[in-house]
Amino acid sequence: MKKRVLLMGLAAVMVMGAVVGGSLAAGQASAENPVTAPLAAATLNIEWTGGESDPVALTVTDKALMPADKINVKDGYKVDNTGSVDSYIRVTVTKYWADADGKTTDLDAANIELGLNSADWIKAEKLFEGNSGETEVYYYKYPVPAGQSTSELLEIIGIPASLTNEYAGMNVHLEAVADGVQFAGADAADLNASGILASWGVVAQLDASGNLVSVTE
Amino acid sequence: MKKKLIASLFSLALSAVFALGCFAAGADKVVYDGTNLTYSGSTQMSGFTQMIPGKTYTGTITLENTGNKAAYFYMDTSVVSTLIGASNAKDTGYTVSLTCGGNTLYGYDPATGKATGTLVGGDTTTGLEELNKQLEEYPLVATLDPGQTADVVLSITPDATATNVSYMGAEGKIEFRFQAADVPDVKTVVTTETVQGAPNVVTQVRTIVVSAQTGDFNIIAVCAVVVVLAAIVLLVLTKKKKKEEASDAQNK
Repeated sequence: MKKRVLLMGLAAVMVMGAVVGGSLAAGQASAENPVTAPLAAATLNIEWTGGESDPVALTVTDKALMPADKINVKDGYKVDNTGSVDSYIRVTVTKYWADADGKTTDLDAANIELGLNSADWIKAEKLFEGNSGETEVYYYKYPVPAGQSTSELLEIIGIPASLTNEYAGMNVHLEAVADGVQFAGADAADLNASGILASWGVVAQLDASGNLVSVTE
Repeated sequence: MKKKLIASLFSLALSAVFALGCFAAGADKVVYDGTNLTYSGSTQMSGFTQMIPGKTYTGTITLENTGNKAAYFYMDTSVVSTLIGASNAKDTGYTVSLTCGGNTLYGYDPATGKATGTLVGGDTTTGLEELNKQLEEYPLVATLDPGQTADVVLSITPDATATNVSYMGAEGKIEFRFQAADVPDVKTVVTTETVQGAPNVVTQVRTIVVSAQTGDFNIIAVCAVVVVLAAIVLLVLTKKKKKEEASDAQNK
């Protein structure tokens, strides 16, 4: 009798082992939906404030522009950050003399003096090779937050008092191109400097807030 | 003055990727109460928006055991889509690390002993989607006592040089799925048996061991061992009984 009970018990263990093993999956809990992590890259985009404007020629005559004149500039290049990431901004200005028909001349571009807003902009310490006198590069000191703008770059255009008669009737022409580099934050000084070096080929000195202190070509 | 159209550049850091201060997202919670696995808060992990090359971004999920017993937590990580740039570009690289409660699940650097991250993707690859080939399904990520929590932290750094202008505005997605189960009790069973009228103590010690270290839910093998042991004992007793019956028949 005792053995019969033992045998029945063992049979029950075998059955239970199979049943429990088969029903173990029911003891797990699963979340119905996943947790999602959306990824999105930033967009860097800048535009001239107010869009493109019509070209304005400043003619050297005894009525419009004379040697030693300094003319206050209106709409002196202002840039909007229309992207989704804060950005460093620079403006490259090419200046040249053109005749009445708009044809470029070989007159010395160094005789076109640009007075910048030095409170907010700094000038590169060295010009690009081959463009000495014609091209000047200016860097906005402060990273421009997305949705905001720089201040105006140029305040004054002047010509020296020593200008000779060959400039009579000639026009001052300026052409500008602006570009940007994303700002990675004040705590990312090395990354910011590397980005500026990679994109603009210049060495930037930054302060603790990420503002440009100096730029060396 | 004449103004030209502006050229915009999505610039890059030239040298090695820097691990920088991170954007830490608020923690969403995965809660196991001993029966159900639910979410507390959002089911969306934030922290990976407005990504720029070379900068590190992190997101956090908190696991919590509100049940009465210790519990295993399992997590499956799946990259649904890497960042896809212009012309369907995918092959930039990412430095990725995944940790839970201080343990490194992915991205361990033996040289530093820290989760500094492992480079995933790169030229001619599918970018972050390469991670799917390297992560196992539902590994055990935490064993939590009642009331205990653990943070799962994902860290991603887009490569500073390969993530170029074509990736501006690109989007991607990663999903995390969870399972949980109570930690089974460890039991010791002792049995006593008397054979042929003489005291004969037979002690059997059965220890139920769960192979949960590998995250394998399948402990049917354990039950199979129990069944086999019972079958062996049954066989031995049956043979003894037949032997006794044969012996009785002989004596008669």
